[in-house]
Amino acid sequence: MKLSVLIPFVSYLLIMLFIGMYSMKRIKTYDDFIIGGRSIGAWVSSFALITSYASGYTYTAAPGMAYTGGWSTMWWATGDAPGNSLSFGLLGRRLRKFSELLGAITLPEYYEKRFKSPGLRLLTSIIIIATVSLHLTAQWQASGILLSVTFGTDYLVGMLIGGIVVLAYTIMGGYLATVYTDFMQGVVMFIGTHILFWSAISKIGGFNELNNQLALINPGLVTPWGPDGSYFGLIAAASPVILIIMGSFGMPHVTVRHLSLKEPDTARKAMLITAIFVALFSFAYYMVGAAGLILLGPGLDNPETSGVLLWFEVLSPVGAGILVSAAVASIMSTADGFLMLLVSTIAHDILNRFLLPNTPQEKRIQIARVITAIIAILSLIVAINPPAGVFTIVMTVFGGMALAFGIPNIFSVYWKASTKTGAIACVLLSLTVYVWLTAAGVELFGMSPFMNGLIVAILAFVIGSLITQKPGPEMEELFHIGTSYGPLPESFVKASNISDKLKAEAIRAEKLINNINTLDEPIPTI
Amino acid sequence: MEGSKLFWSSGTWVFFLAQAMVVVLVGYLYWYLGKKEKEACEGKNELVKDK
Repeated sequence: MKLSVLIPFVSYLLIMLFIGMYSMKRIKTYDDFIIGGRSIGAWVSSFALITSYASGYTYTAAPGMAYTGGWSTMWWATGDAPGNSLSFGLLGRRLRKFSELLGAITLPEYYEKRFKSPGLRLLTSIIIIATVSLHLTAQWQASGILLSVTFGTDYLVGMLIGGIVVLAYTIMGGYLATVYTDFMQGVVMFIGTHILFWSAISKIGGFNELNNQLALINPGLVTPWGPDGSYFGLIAAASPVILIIMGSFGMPHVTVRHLSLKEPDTARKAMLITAIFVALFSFAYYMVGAAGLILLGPGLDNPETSGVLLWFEVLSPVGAGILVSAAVASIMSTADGFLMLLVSTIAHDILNRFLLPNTPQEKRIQIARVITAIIAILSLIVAINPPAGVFTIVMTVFGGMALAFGIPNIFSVYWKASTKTGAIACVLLSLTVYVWLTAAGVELFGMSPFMNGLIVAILAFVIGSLITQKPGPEMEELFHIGTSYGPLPESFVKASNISDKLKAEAIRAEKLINNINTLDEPIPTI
Repeated sequence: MEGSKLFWSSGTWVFFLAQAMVVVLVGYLYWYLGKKEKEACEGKNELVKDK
């Protein structure tokens, strides 16, 4: 392997480790380790969400789809910008406020406090652990394949390089390290992808020539409906857009970024940054595959290698080195998000909540670090001989998580009548229907399993909530404050037990409204 | 038909229009939310409902 390819890549790995060490110095509390002390600004939050969302898929499956489907693949890219940006603007702003008002630092904890259900916290924790572990294994596997193809190393060596670097900076710097490295990784991915895309277009002779040559292979490659017309019709075309948007609202390693925002209004700024960068980024990483079809020729055994093979076809060794870094960055940025999510779920939602309550703060951080190491090592061991079809399972799990968490997330901050019955019914029924239809390969009513699952998720949530008890005055107050503009009232931010303050404020407001005689029954004060 | 003409006649260009519209709409939402935030900060003691 040429040194000119290796140097940019090794430099990239060293920068990631440096960020891990830098973040370690900033960790003072348990909340810092788990959620970055709710101190993350708009730029870092934006890139952390984009890169966590864009996994190894970005440089393998996405170009592979455009290699076989041409411009029709853009239906998938079309969901990226609205999904990622509105996740901040519509969900993130409120989720940030609600989670602080309720004193929640993880999503399962938020569900428990929002829906008043420890069972829901346990259920969502178990789903996160089961699904995210698989995702994490798949990321190590992608790292092994990518580095072995690029550098000619053993699969095991490639996997260990990716795994050890991510483990090192995550164990040192926790959540802060993952978001700061995600920011750097996002910059590398954005620059690297555009270098590759525009170099390829230039070598082909421009956009018109790209379209002319695609049409010579199959005119359908230049249309929105695809070479086999598989995207023709409203449902067929809209399904990938909706799936991608719901993924941004549901995937827990993505939506946890909202909880760590510095201020609720940070979500607004992050929304704009995200929309601009994703709109410029997503079409390029898909359409690299279409350029690959022209420059590499049709008939690749594995279309998913088209993106990687294109690096060495159109780029200089240094450029290829940057692309290797970008591809590894896409894997690492997702892997660290998954790893951190697993750590927070096991340490905070299982151990601290159910098994080891009242553990001192210093000990909690130590436990979280040990768990990080154990999870990473276990998932690396599994990835040495990964279960067959792990990538298929991962893609299926993506839709399931989007349904199981996306609908409860949205309803929890927009509909005060949401109840735990609705949330639990939504999670269980939508997952059951989606997995069953996917496994059976059935498309009910001409719709994909995801669209059927989405309808079931919405119906289950709404009906389950409507038939159960209406929320009390505390929930009214949560919505009154949480849905308002401006920063949170100082009294709530400084309160030691925010939930109690919320309750007291709700009772106080209710009594004032009802004109109850305060001489007999004193009104609680904040 | 040439691919470059097919790109325009089949409506594939709409993908780029959609991306541009998303950025414009998000830009509007950014401005609108910013206006509401500012109003809420100016009237410090009164919570402005998000409706």
